[in-house]
Amino acid sequence: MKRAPVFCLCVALLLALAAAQLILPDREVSPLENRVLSQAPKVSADAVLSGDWGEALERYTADQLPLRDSFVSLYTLMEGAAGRRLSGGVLLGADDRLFDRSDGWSERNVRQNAAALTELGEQAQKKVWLLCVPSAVAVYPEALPALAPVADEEALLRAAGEETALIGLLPLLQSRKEGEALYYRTDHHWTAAGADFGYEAICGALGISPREAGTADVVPGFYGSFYARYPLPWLSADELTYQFPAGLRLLADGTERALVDETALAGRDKYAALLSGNHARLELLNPDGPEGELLVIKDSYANALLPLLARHYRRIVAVDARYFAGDIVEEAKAFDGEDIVCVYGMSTLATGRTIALLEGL
Amino acid sequence: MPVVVLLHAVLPQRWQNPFLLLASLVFYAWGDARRLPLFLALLAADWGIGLLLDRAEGRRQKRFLLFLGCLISFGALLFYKYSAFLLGIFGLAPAFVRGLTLPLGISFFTFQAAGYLIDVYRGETKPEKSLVAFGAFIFLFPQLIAGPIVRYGPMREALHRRRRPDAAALDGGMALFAVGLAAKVLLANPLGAMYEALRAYPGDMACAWLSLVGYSLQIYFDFMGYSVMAVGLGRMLGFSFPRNFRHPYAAVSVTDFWRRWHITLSGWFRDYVYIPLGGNRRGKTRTVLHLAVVWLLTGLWHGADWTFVLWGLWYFVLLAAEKLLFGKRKAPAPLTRAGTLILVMLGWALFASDGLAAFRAYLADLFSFRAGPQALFWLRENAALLLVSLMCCVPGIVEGLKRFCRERGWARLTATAALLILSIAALAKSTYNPFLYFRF
Repeated sequence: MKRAPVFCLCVALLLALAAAQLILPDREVSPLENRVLSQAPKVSADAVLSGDWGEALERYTADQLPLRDSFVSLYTLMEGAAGRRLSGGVLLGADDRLFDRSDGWSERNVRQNAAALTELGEQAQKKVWLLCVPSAVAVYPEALPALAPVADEEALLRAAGEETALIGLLPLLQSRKEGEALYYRTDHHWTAAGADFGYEAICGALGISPREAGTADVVPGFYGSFYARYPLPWLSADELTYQFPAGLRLLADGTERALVDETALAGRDKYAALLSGNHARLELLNPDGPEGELLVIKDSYANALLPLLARHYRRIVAVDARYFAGDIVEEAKAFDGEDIVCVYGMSTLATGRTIALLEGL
Repeated sequence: MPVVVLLHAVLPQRWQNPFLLLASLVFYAWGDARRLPLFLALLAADWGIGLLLDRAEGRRQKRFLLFLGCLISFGALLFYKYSAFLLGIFGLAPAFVRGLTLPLGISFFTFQAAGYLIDVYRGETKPEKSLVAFGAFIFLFPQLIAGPIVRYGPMREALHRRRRPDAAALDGGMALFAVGLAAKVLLANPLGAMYEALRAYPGDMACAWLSLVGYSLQIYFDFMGYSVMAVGLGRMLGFSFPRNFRHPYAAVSVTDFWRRWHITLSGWFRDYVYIPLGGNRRGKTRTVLHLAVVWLLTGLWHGADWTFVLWGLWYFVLLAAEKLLFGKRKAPAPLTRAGTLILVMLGWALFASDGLAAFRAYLADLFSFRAGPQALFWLRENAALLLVSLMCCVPGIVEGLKRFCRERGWARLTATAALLILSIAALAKSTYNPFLYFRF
């Protein structure tokens, strides 16, 4: 065997990987993938005979592969070097900006969700507004790869506007994109600057005068959800920006929480720090607010925006339709105010019937 | 895998076959443990009949035994693979039949075992006396699931000596294994993803053809990859398996294509069906009839559905036409190559379609004569993949690379290690699954 170098090297490589897997402690979670990894499956006669054990063992071996993240990076690097602009459902555009592949987004979903909002307003006898946050695709189309498979978001917005009272935002974002970055490059969310324009648009609709933007806090080292889906090693990190006024209290599902979660802020996916992540129902309390109460139906895009709005209201109740199990009509009737604002990313409105499926509608 | 190869190489001869059989059974049980008793029973039956065939006296006894053996083998195949389809033809589909799942590897198992019985019947080979050696032959783990179909005769000698693969066999086998793995995970899998993506544009002719190019390359690298891995593993174990593919997309005619594609299967049908029926020695009408039988069966072997029947008939028509019409005339090779490729690709459109309705839709797309620009995005996106894949279909390039690596030790070492590492990376990426809690 001394004269079989190819065999010896490859066998050594495979055995070294196997040995490393046996010796090294198993990881519980993968920060890159943001999920819990498979652990060693338990042996039982049933599981072995049915093949379940074999499958579980394969999942476990794959999840706990030594240098797993490096192998993933290596393959991603090869994809990038081969000129791939689409991986993991994410498009790589000019200036290393990542976008959602959105050609599967459906106008039907947008219409049903928007119509459900109108229905809610009628049932609760309140005024309903929809602020639909377009994706970066609609704001920076020039950075997209040619012929990229993306949705026509202007058409989707028009459809939403036919079903409910839509707050115009896209033209504002398009006209102001030359200055500060409005969206992150590695994440689908918007920056403090982007959220500030959303805030202005809402103020315009509700007839309140917007306050001056203060200085935003900046946290470097932010690798967002797009990066997790197409982790090209040469992409640089974003800086998380947020502008949260002092003096606010946050109640998330009834418990007092920090407005900015320090643990999440220290991790990779830093946007999750804002309003301590996603909760079914939260309240923002501001004793100095000049206006009364506001009901917000929202997804995570609102997490960067709500504190700005909270400067005006004594109490904002925000419901995340994806997790909220209560009766939304009751909630809408109960709060002490006239306006309901819905803040949603186009991705949520167009990929599911989140609002239309709410209890009570 | 490396543990099996290493242990096998150092074991004394009398432990080699039992060890291989055990490893193969474990490998099989991994995928489908519940079917193991069925396979062991089939194995024992085929082995016993093989022994009896040798002792039987008189033609009638032998015929009966062969008939019995084939009945058992093909009966199981018929039951598991075709009962739902066949009963469906008569409008019957009892629930228990629809619930049957195909035992892993049963098609290859059946063909290998039946081929063995026929060989013994004809006296072309002595029967295998040892059940363990017979089991090791039939179950041999590198090739049970996806071929090549190995005949007993050429294997007999290797089964009964101490197998000591030398350095050349170990190195060559490992290199082949890495090449096969890479063909599967670095080419076939992304080509499959490209095919899927492009089938999402109904009515677009450019996308349909590009998807068909992707599918044709995918099915080749997928199947060829498995076969080459099996041949490589076999070499590391001291066996010499036959080559299953020889640059099929460089074929100059459909007849030529089938001399290059899944060679061991075409060989099986030639030796055990076509020639026993009389081959081409009984006049034109009979030849055509024989071809029809062979290709109907070949189609059905690939799957129990009307699309596969049609696929077999498609090749019957093409091959019969070639035999009868273009016997001697020769068009320029580039022209016949291109023509063959298009005919073969149209065949793959049948293969790719899940049912006749899907095939009709695919065909309508392929000839819709309407196309948007989207195909260009996917062409650009997969340009590197397509370029490498197409280059790997050109015999001159592949053989040149092989020679280059054979003659330079460092080149083979680097190429094999690189392919292995990249393949592991691809496997890691395929289970890469970012949890998108913050998706919205």
